Amino acid sequence: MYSKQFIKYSLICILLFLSIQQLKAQSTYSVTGKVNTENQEAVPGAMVILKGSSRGVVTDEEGVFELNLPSGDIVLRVSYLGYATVEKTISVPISEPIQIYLKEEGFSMEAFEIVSTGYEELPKERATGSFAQVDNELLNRRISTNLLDRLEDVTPGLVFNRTGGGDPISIRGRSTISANANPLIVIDNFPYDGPLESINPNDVESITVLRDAAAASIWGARAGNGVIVITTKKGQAATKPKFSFNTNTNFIEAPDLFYAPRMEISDFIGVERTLFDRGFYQSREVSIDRQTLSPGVELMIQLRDGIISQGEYDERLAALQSIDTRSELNRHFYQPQINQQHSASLSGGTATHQYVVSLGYDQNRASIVGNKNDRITLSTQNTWNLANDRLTLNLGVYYAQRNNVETTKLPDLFPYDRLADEAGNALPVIQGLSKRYIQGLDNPFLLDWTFVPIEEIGMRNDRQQNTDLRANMALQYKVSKDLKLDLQYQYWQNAANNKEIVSQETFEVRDLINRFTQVEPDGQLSRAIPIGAIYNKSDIFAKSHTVRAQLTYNKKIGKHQVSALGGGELKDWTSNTDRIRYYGYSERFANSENVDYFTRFRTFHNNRLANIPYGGGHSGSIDRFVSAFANASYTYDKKYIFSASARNDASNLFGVRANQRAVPLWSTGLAWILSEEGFYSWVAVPYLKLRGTYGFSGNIDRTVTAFTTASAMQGNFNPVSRLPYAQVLNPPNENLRWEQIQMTNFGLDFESKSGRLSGSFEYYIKNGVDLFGTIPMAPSSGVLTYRGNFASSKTQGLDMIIRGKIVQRAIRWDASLIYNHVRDRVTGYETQASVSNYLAFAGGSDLIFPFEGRPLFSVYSYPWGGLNPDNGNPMGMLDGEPSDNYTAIFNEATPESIIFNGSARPTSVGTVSNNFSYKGFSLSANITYRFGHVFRRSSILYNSLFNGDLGHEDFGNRWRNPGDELSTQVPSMPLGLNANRDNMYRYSEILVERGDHIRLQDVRVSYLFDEIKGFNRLELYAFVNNLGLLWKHTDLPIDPDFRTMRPLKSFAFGVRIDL
Amino acid sequence: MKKLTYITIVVILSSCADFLDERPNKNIVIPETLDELQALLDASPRGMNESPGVHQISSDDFVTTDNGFTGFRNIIEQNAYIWSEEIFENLGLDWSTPYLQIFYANIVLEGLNNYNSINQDEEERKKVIEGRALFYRAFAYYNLAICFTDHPDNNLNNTTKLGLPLKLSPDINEPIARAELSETFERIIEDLEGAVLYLPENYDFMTRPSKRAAYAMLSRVHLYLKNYQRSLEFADLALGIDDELLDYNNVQTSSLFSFNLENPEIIFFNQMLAYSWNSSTLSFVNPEIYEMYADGDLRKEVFFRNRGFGINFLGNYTGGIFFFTGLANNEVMLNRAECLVRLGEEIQGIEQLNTLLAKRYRVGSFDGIENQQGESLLQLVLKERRKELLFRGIRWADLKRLNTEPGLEQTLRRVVFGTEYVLEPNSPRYVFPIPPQEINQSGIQQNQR
Repeated sequence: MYSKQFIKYSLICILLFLSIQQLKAQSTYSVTGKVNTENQEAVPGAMVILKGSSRGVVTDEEGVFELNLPSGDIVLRVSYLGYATVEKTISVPISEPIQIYLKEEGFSMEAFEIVSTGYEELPKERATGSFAQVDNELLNRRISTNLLDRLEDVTPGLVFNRTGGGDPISIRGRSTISANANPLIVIDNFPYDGPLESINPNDVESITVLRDAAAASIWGARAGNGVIVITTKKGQAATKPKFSFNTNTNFIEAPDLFYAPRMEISDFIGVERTLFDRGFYQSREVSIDRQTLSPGVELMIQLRDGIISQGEYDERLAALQSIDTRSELNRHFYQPQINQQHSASLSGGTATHQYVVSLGYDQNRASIVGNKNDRITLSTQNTWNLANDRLTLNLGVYYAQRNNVETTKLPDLFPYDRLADEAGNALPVIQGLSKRYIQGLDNPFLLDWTFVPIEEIGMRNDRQQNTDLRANMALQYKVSKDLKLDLQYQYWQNAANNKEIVSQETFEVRDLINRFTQVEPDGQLSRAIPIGAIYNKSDIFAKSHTVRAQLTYNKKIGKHQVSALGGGELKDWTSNTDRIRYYGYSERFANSENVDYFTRFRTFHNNRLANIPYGGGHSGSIDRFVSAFANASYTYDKKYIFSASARNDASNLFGVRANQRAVPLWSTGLAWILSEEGFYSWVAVPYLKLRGTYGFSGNIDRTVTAFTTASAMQGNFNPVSRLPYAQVLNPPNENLRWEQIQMTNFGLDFESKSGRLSGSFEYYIKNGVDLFGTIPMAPSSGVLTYRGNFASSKTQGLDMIIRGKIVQRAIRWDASLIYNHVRDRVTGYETQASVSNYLAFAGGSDLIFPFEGRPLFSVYSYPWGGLNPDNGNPMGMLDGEPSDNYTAIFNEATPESIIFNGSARPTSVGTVSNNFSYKGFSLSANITYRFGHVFRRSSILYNSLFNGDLGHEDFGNRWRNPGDELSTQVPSMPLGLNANRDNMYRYSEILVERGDHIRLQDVRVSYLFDEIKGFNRLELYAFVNNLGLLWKHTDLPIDPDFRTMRPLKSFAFGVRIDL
Repeated sequence: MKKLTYITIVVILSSCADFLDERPNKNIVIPETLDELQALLDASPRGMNESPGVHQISSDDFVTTDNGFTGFRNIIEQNAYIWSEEIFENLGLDWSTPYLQIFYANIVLEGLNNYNSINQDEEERKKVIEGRALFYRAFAYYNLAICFTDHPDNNLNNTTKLGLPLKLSPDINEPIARAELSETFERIIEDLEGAVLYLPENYDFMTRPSKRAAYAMLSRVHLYLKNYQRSLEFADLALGIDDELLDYNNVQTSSLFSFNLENPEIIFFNQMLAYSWNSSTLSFVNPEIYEMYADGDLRKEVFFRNRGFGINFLGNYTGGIFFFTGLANNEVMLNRAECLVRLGEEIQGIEQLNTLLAKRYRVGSFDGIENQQGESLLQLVLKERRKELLFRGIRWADLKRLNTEPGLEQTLRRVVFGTEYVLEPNSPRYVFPIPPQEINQSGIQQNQR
């Protein structure tokens, strides 16, 4: 095995060789050499090629070769199956034979894999914990503005959630119920407080995901959800300046508005007609709030009142039936997205100074016309080795500025609104208030009260700017050969400035000004809201300081190797928000006017009392942490590894007793490299390691307190008295504890001969202890729910990755298989929620209702009794018989009696990657799969149809006449609104489908030009994403994981150049 | 270098305690100071000035059509409209909002108990806040009592008279049981009488209780309990502070809602919990009431809008869509008139009615009530009460009270989709069931209906 120093040295050497690129053609000299294994054994049959040409020889029985070469610096490329290709630079002429050593490729891969915990970097083989590594090549495979997207499908144990719950990604399933469920993100050794969008993926060298307690517990109370450690690029010692440039353009198709199956527009208008005849719109028609009615219903009113003739009505209705708002929006509002990404960096270094400077620019055109965003990133990192290498100083500064410009807002329209006529002239649509009311107004004082969507394209001026600055300084002092002292400091700040200038030309502002137009006692009109734009401004400024002092000790004596670290950390994070709104704002003259927020005005259209909307507010937060940590590992004879770590975190939790502020957490682990044992003789698998760890990490819920807390509210929210007030946030909870995640992990790493097959298996059991849960309370206590450490959970799973080198000839075929299995159960939850809560949740909302013995995200349904043959009513089951007595069915249903359909989140997720290469050409494809989950599909819901939503296409297949119940399960149309009837159908078992599917996620094609003078590397690449499903269990025409909008296909191409 | 590390560590450790004392969120406090405690009582947006509305749906102030019935967005509304056995699905704001007010009041009372005033001014302020907290608690218990307990004089149901769970501390884990009905009203009266001691005569903000409000509330409670002498005394005390009336001749009927909050009659502001029927144009006034108003009675224009297919009520003292359920001089005067008549002081009773009605009729069209006595005078007083106090959350209590008097009982009838529903006088369905979550979590006894 290799020591850390050796690995570093080797890396440096390789990089050094790679950077030397000059060739000089002169007279030739004979050069001889020998190719050896590391154990000094000769390698016969190895290819020795003069880099950049086709000239080469094969070594003889003794591993010896001879070449005739011109004088100058020459690079030899030596390759042999199962061994890493070596490039060696020689200066011809050369007198003695060259010795070339090849490393067995499999071993080298493991040995070179360095994992970072944010506190230390260690070779993976010396680790007991569970680490998943994503290297630079894998990170760059995908094309995205966002860093996190690049982890998808390539990281065992890390799954992207697509079913709500407030946690877009989770590592080994969700560890908490109601506390923060997001993994901790660590960048360059410090937890990152800023938005991940500010990180340029091109600046990232590698990512390590810490999955078990031994890996993560060094992060203590914040590591309960796992940790993602991001390491940015650094300069290398003794390398020539290297300039890299990468540019790509990604075309993403426009949203497919017709993806979700909807009923025909003519059917929809037919429903409106039926409802109109039943008097359904009577209340809305005369509403004091001047509620809007659709163009069709307005036409029906005109016909009823004799304003238009039957003939005119028929003609105009036919015209309406030919309109589809989705087509109109497609034509006028949507466009394909175009994302461009450019980045350049310069890196290099000498023995005493290494540097990297990089610049990135992203420019994205959004899918809505007139909207766009961009990002500029600038980063620099410098390392100085001083005092004879005893002192290392590292300074890094990262700056990112993101701008989002929104000039167009999507209008909220009826299902059939025409936006422009044949000649392309913009047309008004019904918006805000009823058409009859607006048309009946004849008041020159009022502003135009019509809404013309197309005219408002590009009219807004909403700008969000986010500036993120991170600076860190690290000082390392080698006290002795074995002992190092590290002092690290990070300053971070983020300013989010939102400016929203809504022009007076927009409907939004005209509407508000008109609504607040006042009728004075003398009949004169006045405006409570002045003419001019509305300017909303909000500024969030956050900053943090983090200081860390750490001692690291490494010592190797004979067969004993000890490494230990310990230290303390202090963090202070603050954030302040200020919001303000100006009325009557003039951009031209930069002034605004005061309005009266105190008076309750009579609104013009309905005479209700209302205050002018106030847009101001302030808030501020402070988080502080004081932590102490220690970590030690002991290796004996390179075979047995023991590790232990402990951490204590204390935070400024509010309203808790002093002893509840801190939590100590620990972990321990063992590893055994079986293949190092003398008795080990499995030739086919020369590397085999077993690992086991156990320990705790934690989580924190800052909202729960031991004392009664209240939140202070502004008087603006108090409509009658305008008095500032306070509302109780938390009833006291004296038995407050921190959430703890107890994790046991078993791992096996293996590698076959010549690295043809390698991989690891991990099995884990994760117990959530003292999890925060919300229980219902007796309302007479004054609170409806109560949050406390009521819950526990158990998650078991398997993470697996297998890599294979299937063909290794001129054509190479590499494949890898990732398989994650997660099975989670809520094991303790003191009370049950109501049946309606369980049914409504189904993984769709952020409110979670746990059920003992079931997965946290579960789908439930009512047993289905078919359709009532007399009237097409949906039927459930009551006392074993089909029934449409909904009240009785709902009253008798208990959480135990309803059907548990399964987990809403997939239990098996993974990827099959294949990579083919031939010469410079390579092609890779990711096939992903998700199994073991169910979902509730949508169908026709008459309540929402009657309220004006374009219903599901199942409407066309509804029960109409007795006998239809034999061929359809879609209920008939009811007479009026009936929520129970809709809910019976919506939550019935017939709408639950299995979500299992396999998709062709993406394909990447690239060509690496072998030798072009002046270039170190020149690669052209293309990437196609979201290619579509290969197989799905359900017969529905939709994607089980993307039911409202399918993932949009994208096509990207780009160039990467290293000089 | 080591020295520097040492110094750093010492500095870090010694400042740790203070470092972690910083409040994590500037908007969050542990309510301790008088300002913070008062702020809890001022939390109108959390429901401190709201009262139950479910009984208003069940009362005979209101009718709707079949379309209006299916248009109810909340199943509670449908259940309450036809007096179903079950009303609530799981939770009911009509139950939980008053208990939230009680919870807040109890936090404040406990907080005041732990608060040491630094001077006399503070001590006086502390007393005022205590008076307000007591008033809120009594007001909440009374509102709960009319919905969820029987009238003490209803002898038709031979079950024990169950009162409310009486929470007197903010401890949410304290076990609770239903008190006796008599104990419940004793508590309400005791809290109000306690409040009277500390409260200022009049309000500074109409959402805050005053002495006048406590007197008016005592008059309301005693009237419900048929203690006419006590009710009269407190009505006198309330009106003694202020008895101004709004002259409806000066009310503009051109705007949609006739009133605004600049109304001298308002003693204490409270509004009814909003249900979807509040804002439906298919929610109509019972046409029987609409027919009661004589010519020249301004209330017919001020209170109502006739839409042709029904009459909407728009005469809320809240000035908007929400029903006013607070205290106002017109109610106190009607309490007083009824008590006087019942106690035999008929002349004074008629005088009181005339004072009120003079401000309700078009100038010159009201001659005053004369020559009425006995049973017919009581009927007249009750009729005036009905005409004046509709959609004020008062009718349900009046129905329960009057049903206990032979000759004054009312049978309510409704037809929905061709089915007739009947609510007999003194029916157990005058007592709403307690929302299931309460029964499930605390195990208290459910009302049988």
